[in-house]
Amino acid sequence: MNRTILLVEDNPQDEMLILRSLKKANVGNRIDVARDGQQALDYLFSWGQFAGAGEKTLPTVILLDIGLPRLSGLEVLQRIREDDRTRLVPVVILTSSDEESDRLRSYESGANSFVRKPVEFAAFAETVSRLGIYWVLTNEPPCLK
Amino acid sequence: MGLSSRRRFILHATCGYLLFGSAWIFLSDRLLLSFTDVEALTRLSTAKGITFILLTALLLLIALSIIPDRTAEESRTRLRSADIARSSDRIPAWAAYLFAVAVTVAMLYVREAIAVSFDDRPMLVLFMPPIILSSVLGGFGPGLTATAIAAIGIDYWGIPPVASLRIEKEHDLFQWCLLIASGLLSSYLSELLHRARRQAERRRIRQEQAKEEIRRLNAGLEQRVAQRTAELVAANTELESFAYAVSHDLRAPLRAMSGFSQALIEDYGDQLQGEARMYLDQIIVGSRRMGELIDGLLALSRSTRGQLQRDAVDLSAMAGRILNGLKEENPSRQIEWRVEPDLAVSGDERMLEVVIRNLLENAWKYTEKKDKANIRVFTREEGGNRWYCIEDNGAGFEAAYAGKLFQPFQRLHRQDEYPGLGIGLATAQRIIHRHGGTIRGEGSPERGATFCFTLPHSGTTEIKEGQ
Repeated sequence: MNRTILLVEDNPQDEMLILRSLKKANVGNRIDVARDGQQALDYLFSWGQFAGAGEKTLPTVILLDIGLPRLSGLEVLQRIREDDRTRLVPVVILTSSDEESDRLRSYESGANSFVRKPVEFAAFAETVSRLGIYWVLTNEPPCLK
Repeated sequence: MGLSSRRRFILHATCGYLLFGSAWIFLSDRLLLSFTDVEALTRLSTAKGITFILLTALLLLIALSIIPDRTAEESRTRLRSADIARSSDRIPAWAAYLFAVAVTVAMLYVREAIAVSFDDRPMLVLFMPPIILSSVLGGFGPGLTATAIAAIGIDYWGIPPVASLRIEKEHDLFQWCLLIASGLLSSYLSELLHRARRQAERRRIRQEQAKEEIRRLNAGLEQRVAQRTAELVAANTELESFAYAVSHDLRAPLRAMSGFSQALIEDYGDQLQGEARMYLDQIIVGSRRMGELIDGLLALSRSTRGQLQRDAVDLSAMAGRILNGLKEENPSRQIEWRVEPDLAVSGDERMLEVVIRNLLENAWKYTEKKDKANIRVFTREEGGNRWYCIEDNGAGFEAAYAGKLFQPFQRLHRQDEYPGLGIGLATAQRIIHRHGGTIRGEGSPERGATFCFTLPHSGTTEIKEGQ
């Protein structure tokens, strides 16, 4: 099975650091990146620039930032959960925010996990690699077309 | 109602005077006819002149004393429209005049008709009802109109010689004068009544307007309060979204700084000389420190966010719990603590926990270099207030700098002596202020510090607990 990770991240530096950490953790899976909320939905539902890409398997996990341009991460999460095709895809909120309200709303909207990005890089790298290993290698995702 | 009441009065007074003067000349000259003696005629003429002057002086006095005030004019005209609109029971002026004319003329015909069946007397008393009715209905003007019509009409058609304005018989003249005098009196009295009624009505309207004004002002006040509240809420929301932005957006660049420095060390560490490596470490240390400062700032802004709860809080149990936790984290520390039992207060438990934790952690930190560290939690009565105090025998501080302690990011010790952000006491102060209390610190270098705070609204709980 092709186990793809969808990373939704608007900050290119964070994106680089996350990709580097995953690589260091030997997570060799394909990682697709969406840079805003709309692009993430386009990717998932084969809209816009992703239209006509044919039947696509859904990612095995979505790493979703909250503070995104256009559609926020929470809105994206709600859309994902509203649609029958995607409502079971595991979604991990990966954010700088440590607002209680964000955490609460993420779980209310159906997030599978809420992880705060540590400021310090060592801790950040550790967190990301553990996330990659757990969600890609350890966790068994539901069977999705 | 184009005329102001002042102008209308002047017009009325002038017309009244014209009428009165003409009647006087006409009447008094008629009176003189009955005298043939020149001596008596002259005396009578003088008396007549003096009486005229006296009467006109009296009328002038009355007129001047009741002339409407010019300054009050404005408010009255302002009132008038409302006045008219509201007093639907008042008859319009033109109707009153019409009534006066109609009823008096009708009475002239009535008198003409009954004259035949009775002895042909002027019977001027018949005209009193129309005059009184007219004056009661419309005040001075209609009353005077009725009087004038009655007087002239009866003089011309009713009193011999008929079809002339002359009056032959003295008792006719007397009756005629009486009619005019009664008419004047009735009109004048009615006018006074009308004025009193109008004044009362005006007062009532003014009161209603005042009430209306008060209602309007109240509404304005409420609106202003609502507006201010909305502004405050907006300011708070803005502040919160600012804090949110700080938490979210300021961390990312920091992570990049420390992250890429770390990546440089990991990937190219072998190519970096000793100093270059050290500089990179400093970048990492700096960004870590800034991360901590951002967290501190956020903690400060969040410390007093949300509704203030009123929980019953046992400070003694709370302090004991925190101290035990600190002991578990640092089992090697030799610290003795004493906590006064049953310190029950009322306040926001979550916030008070932050205060007690900050103060106890400070005490814990600043007694680090003592062999025998002591921490004491107790209360004292001072200046009518109950102070809750946390005392230690640690590093203390210069009393002169006590005021700086509570400012955010202000520290009295270097990082290499005692690390910290300088945010704990600022947070504690904000929370205590939110509870309406005060906090202060006392200390001297190397002899320890004492931090005391009040919680003004917790007295009642305490007494209840004490009993």
